[in-house]
Amino acid sequence: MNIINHQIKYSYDKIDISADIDGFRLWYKIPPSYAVSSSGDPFLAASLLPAMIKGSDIRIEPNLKISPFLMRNINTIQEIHHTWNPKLKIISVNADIHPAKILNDGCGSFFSGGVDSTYTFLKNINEITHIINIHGFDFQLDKETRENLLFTTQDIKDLAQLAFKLVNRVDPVSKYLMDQFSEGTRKLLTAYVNSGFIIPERVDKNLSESFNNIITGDLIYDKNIFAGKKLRSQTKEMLMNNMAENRTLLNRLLIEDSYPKEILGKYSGEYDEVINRHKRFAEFFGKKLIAVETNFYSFGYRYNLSRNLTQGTALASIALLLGFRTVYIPASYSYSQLFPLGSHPLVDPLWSNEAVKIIHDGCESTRTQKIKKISENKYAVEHLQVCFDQALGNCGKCEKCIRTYVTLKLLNVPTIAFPISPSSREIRNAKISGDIEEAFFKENVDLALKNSNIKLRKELLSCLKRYERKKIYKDLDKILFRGIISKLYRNLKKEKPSIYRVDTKYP
Amino acid sequence: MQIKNRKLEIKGDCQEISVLIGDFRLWYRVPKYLTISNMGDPFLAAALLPAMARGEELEFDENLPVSSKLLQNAYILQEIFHSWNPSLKIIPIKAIPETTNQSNDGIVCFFSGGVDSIFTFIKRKDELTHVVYIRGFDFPIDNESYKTVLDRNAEFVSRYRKVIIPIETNLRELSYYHNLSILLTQGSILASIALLLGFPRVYISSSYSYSQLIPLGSHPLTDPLWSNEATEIIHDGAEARRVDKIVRIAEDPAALSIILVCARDVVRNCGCCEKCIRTMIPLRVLGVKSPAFPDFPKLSVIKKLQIKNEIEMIFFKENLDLAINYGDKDLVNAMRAYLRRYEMIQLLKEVDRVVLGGFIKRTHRRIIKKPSFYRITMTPREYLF
Repeated sequence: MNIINHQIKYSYDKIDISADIDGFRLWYKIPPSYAVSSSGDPFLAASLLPAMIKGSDIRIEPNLKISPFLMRNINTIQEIHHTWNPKLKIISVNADIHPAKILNDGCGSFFSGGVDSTYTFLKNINEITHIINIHGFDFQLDKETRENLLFTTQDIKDLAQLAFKLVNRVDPVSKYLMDQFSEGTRKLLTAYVNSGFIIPERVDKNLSESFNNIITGDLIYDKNIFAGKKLRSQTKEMLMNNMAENRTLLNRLLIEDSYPKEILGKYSGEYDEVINRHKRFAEFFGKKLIAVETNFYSFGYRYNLSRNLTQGTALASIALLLGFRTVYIPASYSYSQLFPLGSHPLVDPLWSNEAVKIIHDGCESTRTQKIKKISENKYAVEHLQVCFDQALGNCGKCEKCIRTYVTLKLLNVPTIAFPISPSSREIRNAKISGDIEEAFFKENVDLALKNSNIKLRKELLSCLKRYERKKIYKDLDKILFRGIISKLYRNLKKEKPSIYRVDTKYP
Repeated sequence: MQIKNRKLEIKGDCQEISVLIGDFRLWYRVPKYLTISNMGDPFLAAALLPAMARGEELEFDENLPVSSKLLQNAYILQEIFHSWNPSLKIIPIKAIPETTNQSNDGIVCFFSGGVDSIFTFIKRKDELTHVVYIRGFDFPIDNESYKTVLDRNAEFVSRYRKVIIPIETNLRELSYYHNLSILLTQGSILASIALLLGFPRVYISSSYSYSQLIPLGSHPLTDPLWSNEATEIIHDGAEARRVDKIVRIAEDPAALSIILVCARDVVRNCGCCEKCIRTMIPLRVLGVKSPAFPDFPKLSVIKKLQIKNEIEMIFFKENLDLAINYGDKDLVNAMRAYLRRYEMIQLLKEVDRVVLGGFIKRTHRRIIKKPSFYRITMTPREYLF
């Protein structure tokens, strides 16, 4: 894996730091008032896991130095990830070394407005000077791209998922598009998917060119093909008005609407609001906000690595880029809930270099204890942003909202951050999606047992019992019937083949 | 809990260092030629968990200063232990902070002759200078057996021109005095000895790999936190599972001849207890004969295994993986049959817990009438709701 062509571009409203990693231009955009690292450390952090899944050594161009402190730990980082998931091979890093320098004075802490980052912020409030917010999705299209209707490689957010859907022809649109592609494109996509997504080179370029061939041709809309797709209002309007002249735009919108998670759509403006909200939070406490934009996650998805797996390296790369003396990474789980995670107390500190000390913070507290600490600060409680489904505000209906709402209620903390509160039925019917969620859920149950809110306690216990019974049925099926019943059930429901991403643990 | 009254006496070719920890006199016997740290650090390692269990403040005598680095990290250690088991309270530590100096020169690893320490020894043999052998770390051992095992280990490491340092101590008794399980205190016991000897680098061999990290006294998160300015403590070997370590050791005939894993015998491997069997299985799969073990018993011994917890099952499954990879069909069938039975029993326990509210478990306990003896360990006692 070759890291070359490192560039730092200064413009009026941002600094763009980027490098070419095996044909993908990885970039970070930060506000112009900060110094940025010109070393290779951030890009080493970003490319380690992709290189490990590919099993390919990393070669960094000579003017991009790596910290010797970091180089000493790079093997241990790999050993840990490799032990967790043997599909991630241990590789060697070839680079020139040079000690890193402190760039920005102060102490940074990653901040999303959720429970963990708010807790870490309040706990270390005397030391923290800057909060860092990362924006990795729906990033703003460059002005040039917005004026040009054609697809570029930068428009593809999730290459692995997109290729998977196309190659497996999971729906009529994918089938249609695959049939329109050239034989060469089809072969390339299939090879990429079959390789386990480790050879993405040229795939994105080829795909965007193929899309452009299609959208500049005839109108692709057909009632039957696009029957299952949720089209946005602009697309529906254009279809109704039969805008044949603006075919290219209409075709593009149809494709974007068909793959909302995989292809970059029109910028919604929501991100600016999110940033303003966090800015107000920072200013309230006399701190500064650094909003960082990056296409890092698209880079991970190129190799089909899960977000969980790459989370630690995403944060580490930004911490190393900004060069603060200390950077806090808020923990998601306590010491007693540890399991293989992308951001983990064993791994995160190993990404430190001579200049930047990375601290994984907050493992001493359970989620409940964190919310208790946050509840001491009225402003922080109102500002909580935990929602899975929305970037701004809490929906009150998703799993994350429900479990946070329940904890707040049991601790008698005002639930202003949840304008829409879940109903009793919604709490009872809440889905527990796995062992991790079960651990958080049990914390709430523990709290409920000590609390006098009998109604809530009953709802939680009935939800937990339902989940445990479901687990028993699955285990019974697995042990007595070797999983046949689950298989039949899945076939009956005609569930589409789902893509499995490479995660921290080997399944 | 006060730490005071440190004494140093010469006893034959040993020096005995002792100190009062609360009302318990803790002692260590170390070869005379070694320099001993005169700081309070080793005693902090020994006394931290007992103090946490009692919820008492730790106070060091003024002529027992403690490393500033260790004092800072002791707080994080407490957070970790407390998070694992909330009955271990976070307590204040009163001591005069100082910077520690190195006592002896060299690079050390703890060596018991078990799978983990042999693996670390082989892996690090180029840099190691000494190994430390602790008498009766897991269980008491009589003089004759102790001499046999010590000589055996000494002979092994001397082939690589390393020096063996025999240590005797009553740290285990200190744990039991405060009703702490050795599983909880094993890390702090080793750290205490490491800090007493003051070598610049000490390796503690891991018991489990990174993918099996359960709360345990010796853990990659906690071990390094016992380090001070002079001594760096490193948790080594977590990149390998137990089965991987055995595969590596199997390549070394000298190592194979001194392995000692037995849970029943202190001098040799009995060949029929759980620990012996789980080491003999990979050796059989690899087709390697070890003079340290009797011949592999009949396959029916697999049926009689009594795997009691998740961790032992993890080791069992690793061995099964190896057996499948090497195509040992008879062994695989025997192991698979045991695994199936084990899973059925676990399922029954779950059904009992979820559907019957624990009725079968309670009735079983009443019939067996086992007195439950319980030591404080890494995790709190499980409770049903």
